[in-house]
Amino acid sequence: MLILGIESSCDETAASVVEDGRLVRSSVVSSQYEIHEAFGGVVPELASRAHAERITGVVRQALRDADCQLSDLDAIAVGHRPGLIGALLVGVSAAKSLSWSLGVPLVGVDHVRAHLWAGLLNSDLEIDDVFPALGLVISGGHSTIFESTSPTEINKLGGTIDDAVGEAYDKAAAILGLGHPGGPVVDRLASDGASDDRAVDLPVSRLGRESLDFSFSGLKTALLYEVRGVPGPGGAFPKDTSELTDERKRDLCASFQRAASRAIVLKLERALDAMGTKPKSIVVGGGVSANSRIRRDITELAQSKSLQLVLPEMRFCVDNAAMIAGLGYHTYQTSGPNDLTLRAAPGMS
Amino acid sequence: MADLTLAIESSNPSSGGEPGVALGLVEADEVTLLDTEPLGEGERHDDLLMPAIQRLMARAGREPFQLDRIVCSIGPGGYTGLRIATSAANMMALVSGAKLFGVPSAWVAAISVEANCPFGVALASKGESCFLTTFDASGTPQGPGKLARPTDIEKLGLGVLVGDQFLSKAIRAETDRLGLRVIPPEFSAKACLSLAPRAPEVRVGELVPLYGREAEAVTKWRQLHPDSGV
Repeated sequence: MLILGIESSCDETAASVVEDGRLVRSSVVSSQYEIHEAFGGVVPELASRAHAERITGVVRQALRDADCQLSDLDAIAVGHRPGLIGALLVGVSAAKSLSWSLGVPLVGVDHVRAHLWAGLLNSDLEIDDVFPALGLVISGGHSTIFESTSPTEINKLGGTIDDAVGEAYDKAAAILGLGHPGGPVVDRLASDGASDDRAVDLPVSRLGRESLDFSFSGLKTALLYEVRGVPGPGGAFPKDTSELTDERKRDLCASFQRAASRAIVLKLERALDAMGTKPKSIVVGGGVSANSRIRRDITELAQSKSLQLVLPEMRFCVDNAAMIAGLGYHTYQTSGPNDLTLRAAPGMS
Repeated sequence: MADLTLAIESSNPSSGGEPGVALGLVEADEVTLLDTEPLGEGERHDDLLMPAIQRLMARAGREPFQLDRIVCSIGPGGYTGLRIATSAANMMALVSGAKLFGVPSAWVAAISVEANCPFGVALASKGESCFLTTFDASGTPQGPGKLARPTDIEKLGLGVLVGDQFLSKAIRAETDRLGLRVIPPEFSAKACLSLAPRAPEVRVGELVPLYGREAEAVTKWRQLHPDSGV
């Protein structure tokens, strides 16, 4: 079954052709990085405008790369939640139109849950060897732990109560004067062989004793105070970012990354203890799953618990449409198609 | 052989008329209306367009691949509705091979104006400005339209101004001063369809909304960060 996936939930316009949920025939991602860079973050209206301009070209390219025609498609899958509503509506509208025009099924897919499928794209892992699984999605918009009994039966166990981990990375980079997006540059500096990840003892969020939720705002604030000092009565900081040496920035990145990764692994350990059925694997997805320290620490956790670890290829860590088409295949198999009243929704299902 | 033509008008859903879709036959300058379908009532952010097109085409006993032309009202207007319409139109044209046409929404509103004098259609009002398109007495557009302020109105020599409820008080005061009649706009899929013979054709994938002004977030950013280079 050949499915065209469409993704437009935030600032990537993407389309992909995937065969039987696994084999990625094409994956085209048009990033809007250059549009939002000057603003230090995604501007929703500009994202929506760019999606509308690019969606047709991206779909065409995905078909060309997959060496197939529109008439070869068996279904259209679209990420219809969660995300920026104006951005989602472009993809949903395009998907509905394609579905109706071609006379093929329309399948709505939850974007966050689709990240959990990204690690199974192009893999030959048997479903029975992966599920039940402990799932983790870490990105600029989400930090969520799931219990998955199958590709489509996915229940949320915990999520962030403030910043997503990727958002915390962006803010950390801003505090250190490293630009946007922050994740790759913080990771690069932290990975420098000379960096000291214990240079500063930044807090690891635990919340309640049994909590599976995340909080990264305290970590971000601790880094801010470390860099600029505690603000005085008028709110003015006593120090300036320009006082930081390159070595100090490198050490602060490593210390930040250690604390962020420790918080994630801590919650995964708690979730493994809390799950009624012992999982067969840990499945990780989302843009921050590309982070080298977090990949390394979760790999060590999985090995220590004798669990299969499913990590996405680097190109499927970021928002992409292959994961939408992949999960769309299983969603269609288990739940059938949606009709043309499919709604875009900003929140997770 | 007449072209089976689908018209989409969803540009200004809160400004008068009835947003919807129309199906017709177009041959040279002749347009024959076959049927229309309103978008219907929905909640905020509901995408009602494709269900309406599905109902219209099913009632006409037509298939998507039979479409020869798609004509879409492109704004200025509600950003979300415009993006839904243009995205859907691009994809329908991609599949069916239909020719694609984008019509400025001011042209659609001008169809119902009986002015017998030069007139203007003011859309996308914000602050004191609006996106103004001017027409001669016969209803022929006199240019692509542009942002206008109250002080621009007098020199245009208009007899009537078409403006919705969002038209600024400053522009209304200016029209009062000049003795200009202000009438509300009417947008309909039927009017959009009637423009098919003279609508500009665009390539598939290049049908995009006419926004009329930059994103508000960009304007505010520039005000807050004048040295940012934005």
